Amino acid sequence: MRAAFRAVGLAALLGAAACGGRDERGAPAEGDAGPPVDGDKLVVGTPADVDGLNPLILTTVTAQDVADQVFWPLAQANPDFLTFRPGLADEWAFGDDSLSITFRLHPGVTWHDGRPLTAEDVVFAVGLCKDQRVPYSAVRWLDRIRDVVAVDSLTVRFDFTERYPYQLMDAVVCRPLPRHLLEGVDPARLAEHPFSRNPVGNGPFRFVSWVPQQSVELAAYENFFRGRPHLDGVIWRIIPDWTSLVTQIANGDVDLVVAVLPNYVPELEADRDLVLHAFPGRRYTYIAWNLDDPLFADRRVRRALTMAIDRQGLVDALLYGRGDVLQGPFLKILWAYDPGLRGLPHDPAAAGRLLDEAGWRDTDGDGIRDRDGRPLRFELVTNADNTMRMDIAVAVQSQLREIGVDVRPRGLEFVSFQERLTGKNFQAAVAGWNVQIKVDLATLWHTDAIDDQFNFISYSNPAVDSLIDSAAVTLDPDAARPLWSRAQQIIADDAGYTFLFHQYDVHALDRRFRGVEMNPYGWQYNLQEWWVPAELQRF
Amino acid sequence: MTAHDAALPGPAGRGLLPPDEPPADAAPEDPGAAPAAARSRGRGLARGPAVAVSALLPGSAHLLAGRVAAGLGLLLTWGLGLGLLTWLRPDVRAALRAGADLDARIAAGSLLLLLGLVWTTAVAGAWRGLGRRRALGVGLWSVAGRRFRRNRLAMAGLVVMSLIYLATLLTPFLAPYDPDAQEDIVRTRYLEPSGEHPMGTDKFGRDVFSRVLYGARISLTIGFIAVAIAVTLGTLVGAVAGYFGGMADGVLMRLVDLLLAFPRLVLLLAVIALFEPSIFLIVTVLGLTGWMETSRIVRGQFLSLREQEFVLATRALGFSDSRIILRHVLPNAMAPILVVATLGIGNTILLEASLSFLGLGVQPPTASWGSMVANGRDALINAWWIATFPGLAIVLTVVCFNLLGDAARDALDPRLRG
Amino acid sequence: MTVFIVRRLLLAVPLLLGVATLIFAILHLAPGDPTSIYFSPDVDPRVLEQMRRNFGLDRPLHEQYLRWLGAFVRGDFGYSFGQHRPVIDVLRDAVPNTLVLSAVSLVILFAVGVLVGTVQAVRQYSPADHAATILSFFFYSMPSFWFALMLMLVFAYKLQVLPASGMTSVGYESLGPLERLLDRVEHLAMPATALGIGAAAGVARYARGGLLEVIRQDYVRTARAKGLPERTVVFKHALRNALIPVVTLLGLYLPFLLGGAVLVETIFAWPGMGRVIVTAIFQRDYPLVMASTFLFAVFVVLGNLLADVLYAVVDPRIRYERS
Repeated sequence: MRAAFRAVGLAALLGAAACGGRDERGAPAEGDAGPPVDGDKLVVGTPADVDGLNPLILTTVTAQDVADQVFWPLAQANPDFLTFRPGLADEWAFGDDSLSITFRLHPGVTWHDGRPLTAEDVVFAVGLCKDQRVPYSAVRWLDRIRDVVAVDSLTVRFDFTERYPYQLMDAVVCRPLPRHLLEGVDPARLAEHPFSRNPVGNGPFRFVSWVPQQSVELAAYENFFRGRPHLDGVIWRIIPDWTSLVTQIANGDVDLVVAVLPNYVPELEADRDLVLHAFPGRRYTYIAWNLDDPLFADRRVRRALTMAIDRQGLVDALLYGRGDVLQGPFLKILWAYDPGLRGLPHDPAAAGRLLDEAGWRDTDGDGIRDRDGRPLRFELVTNADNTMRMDIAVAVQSQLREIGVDVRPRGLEFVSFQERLTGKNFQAAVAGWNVQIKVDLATLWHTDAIDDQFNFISYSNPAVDSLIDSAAVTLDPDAARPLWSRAQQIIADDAGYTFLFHQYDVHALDRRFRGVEMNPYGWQYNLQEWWVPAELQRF
Repeated sequence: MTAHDAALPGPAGRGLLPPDEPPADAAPEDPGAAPAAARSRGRGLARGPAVAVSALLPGSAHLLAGRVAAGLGLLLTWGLGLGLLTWLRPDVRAALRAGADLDARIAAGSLLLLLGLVWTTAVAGAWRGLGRRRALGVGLWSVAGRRFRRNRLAMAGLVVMSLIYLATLLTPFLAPYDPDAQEDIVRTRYLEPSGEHPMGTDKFGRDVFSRVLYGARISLTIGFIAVAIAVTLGTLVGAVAGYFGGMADGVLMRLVDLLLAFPRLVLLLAVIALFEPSIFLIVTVLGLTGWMETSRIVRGQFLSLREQEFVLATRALGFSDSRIILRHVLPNAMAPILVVATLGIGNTILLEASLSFLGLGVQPPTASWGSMVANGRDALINAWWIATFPGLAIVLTVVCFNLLGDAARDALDPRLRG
Repeated sequence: MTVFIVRRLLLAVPLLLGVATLIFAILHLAPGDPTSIYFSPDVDPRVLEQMRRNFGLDRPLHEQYLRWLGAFVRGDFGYSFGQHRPVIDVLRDAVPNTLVLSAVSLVILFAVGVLVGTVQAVRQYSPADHAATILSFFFYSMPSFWFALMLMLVFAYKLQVLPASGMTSVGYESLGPLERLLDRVEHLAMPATALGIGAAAGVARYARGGLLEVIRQDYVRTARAKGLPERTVVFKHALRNALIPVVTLLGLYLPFLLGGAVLVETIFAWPGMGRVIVTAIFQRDYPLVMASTFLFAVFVVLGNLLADVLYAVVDPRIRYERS
């Protein structure tokens, strides 16, 4: 079982590695050789504020990045999102019936206050994660964990209700918390506990300070069980305006900007003090067609609109080429992604013929197609705070005008936009998903999910339903793969979404850092191993 | 003095002269006018030739008669109009043909109307007689008009403002490109200003100059309509509060206090963010949140005016309240309302820009100056022109409105200052 | 005077309650609630339900209003959904920063405004006067956010002489006292300028007008006749009286600055009220929006009161009667 997962993982890893990499210019600077030395700090500039540092409660990207360094999980996902490497646990094993996993904790791991980490801390944390009063966002991952038992002080066993492919991933999602600090806390008021503002963790960096709206500072934890990280500390500076953020990294006030907005990439690329790391991220962007709307109930219309949009043009223009046209619901970083998927080509002429066929012709000569006296016109909504989506709406409006379709773009405030989507109160929408690392189509594409919030386009195809149902319980990835492939192809053909593109994350980092390894998992993959040659250290 | 000149209209043309406008304040206050009138007397042409010359070249008769400013103004406007007509002849001709689009027709119509107006004004002036300087009015408006004309900065503002209006009317002829037309969005975007694109292109390869021109319409329209709503509402509330006093006054003024205690931008943000932004909503909300100052000023005016004898007289005559308010009191309170409105337009344009900057303004692809600055903000570092030109357009327009409003305040009633 | 102030403060109470109620109504009329920001396939709908219960959003509206009002009157501003901490803590962090920015901005705008206005008045109708008039119209008519962006582009990006944003540099704690002060000043320079420049132009116009009026008066003529140097006449005799109307602007500009702070703080990453309120509106963080709007309103009321009081203090002719 585990062996099968590992093998697949390796293949996927190679695939992922081939499409990412550094944009390096010239040879590395002096001082590269020799063993890593300790010292210096990393200053990260980020537009997103921090809303809390308790790993169970936080919601923003920055808070997640910070908490990742302070709290370690039992095991960490590899960049293939399928296999795992040791975290707090050195090793783990499935029970004979595959209904349990037993983790062996690394001996001598301490919390940042010096108390030892025990199996009880793991049990305590999972208890809180599963508690209905705690708004823990990934709670549904724990649904099939029946029980967690501390076998001895360093051994913990997870019991599952059934066998399924993602048991290990579900077991490690909830990070251990220090029971000696949080015991007896009212779960409903966990977010208010001082722990959220002054966390005590077990990771390579310990918490130092958090000045709201300004900065968060971490320092190297000297007694980290895998050895002290080389950097003395990491500081996040919160800078909400992008002009300011880019100015600061150009000036050297900031060392790293994560997920640079694409339009700033050329500017930063020209900066000789920076190295840009580009990787396929976990985000994709699409146009959702509301299938409840009579206009989009016709598959030919959806396919025609998809073919009329120049998606490669959007990638070139809006992402500066840093992304891939997406044809189906899986990103290529996921193992179930099918590289042989047949997508729709960019072909405005064919799109026009398809619309003719569907009865949409320009009968009154106003340049807009119509049928039964109704013009082919719709509102394309998106959230106004996302410049790229607004830009897509504007570009699509212009491209569809070429084939006689009248699009009315409209930017909404974020929450109003979400309400319009979940209320199915929209015609078409430019939106995006930040995909989870599990292979899953049920949440978005299953008929059962129509009443749930996320299948808001009301997509329903019995063939897809049955493929999803059987693939989701197939333990062997090789057996599951063809099922996922067929489901992807049908979803792509039905064009309920016009999948636009899979965006790359571009991280800009100051040149002085060595030993940096970034990958689709994230920029912080091996942060504890980064170092700076002594002569280049700034702090 | 001819019979024509002798009828001295009171404020707003009503026969009743309000007692608070002593005629003594007005007539002698124009020191430069009397000698100028004396100088020009007898130097003009006879009526016949004057009309003929004016008809051929509007303004020339004024010049010959020594009225340099008026003559030059007419002459320049005529020249500008003719020049535009010659330059845009093919466009205009196309616009007059059947089936042309409404925008172009309006543009062509306004250009011809402008020429017609200049010509008529010049000829009519010559007909009335240029040799004799018209007597100086002593009414509020004619005095204010003279004060205003002496303010050179304000006159410059007026000229620029008029040019901006002309440009908005003629936009379809002046704009070299369709403001929403995207060319190849990779190759023609972010082009620096050049002969082909005087203000460069934006991230979709759209011509910034054309968008600034079209954006002027949206920004000015929003400014005007929102202020119209605000001023109407404010006048109404102020009039009711000031005229009736008592309970009505108390309640309305407390409401005004309440709304004034809100930071306006925050209120706007809350309303527009929480509901769906559209031009309609923006205009409405800008209008509904901007009337408080007007109502305070109008109330003040009404409080003092209602005790004046001429108002008491109308009451004694048994006129209805609405008639008294609308026909007798309000016209005398127009001066400060005009000032507030003028300054308000500039302010509203700035507010709309702020809202657009926060992503809650006019919806794309429609351009307003504010949304253009907001869009250009992302490219500020590599394409400065996108945010800079619409920003300058905002500044220029708002400066004009502020100059005009300021000068109007000085001219209409210096006491309103400070 | 005391009676006047107390009366004004008492009158302000229903006013502020009205402001709070109005904002409560607007917020709750709008679609969505604070849990909307957690919308994602990763988040279980049960979690959102739980959060609504935790926040008390599942109660009927009138009950929410009464509970909120009751707590509010007792000085309990509630709990910020977005920041996961009591609203009062959020305000305690943000308000001083905004006040520092506004105060510095006020000082700059008054100093610059009065100086320019004085020069204009003394050299009336000179080219400098005309230039300053045109310039002040220019700055007065400029969108503050646009000016802020232009400042950043020039001074932070091109010239690199000022820090682009934030309140202090990294490593501020390790600096000496003098360096700390310098660091703070450097960070304040651009936001304070962007915030104050429009108002400075207004002050300059008032100062010019006021001074011109005073200069024509008899006592100034007397001072000149005594043979006092022009500088003494202007600065010691004329300016003092000319500043009376200008000083009263002080109170009126305070709310104006707080409003402008919304945009300027976002651009310069200044951790103040303006940013708090914008973020809170977008996050539907009801308690925080209500409390901060309320605080804004308090500042407006205090600002107006200050203006009236200052007016009475600097001008002995003004008396506020009991009636």
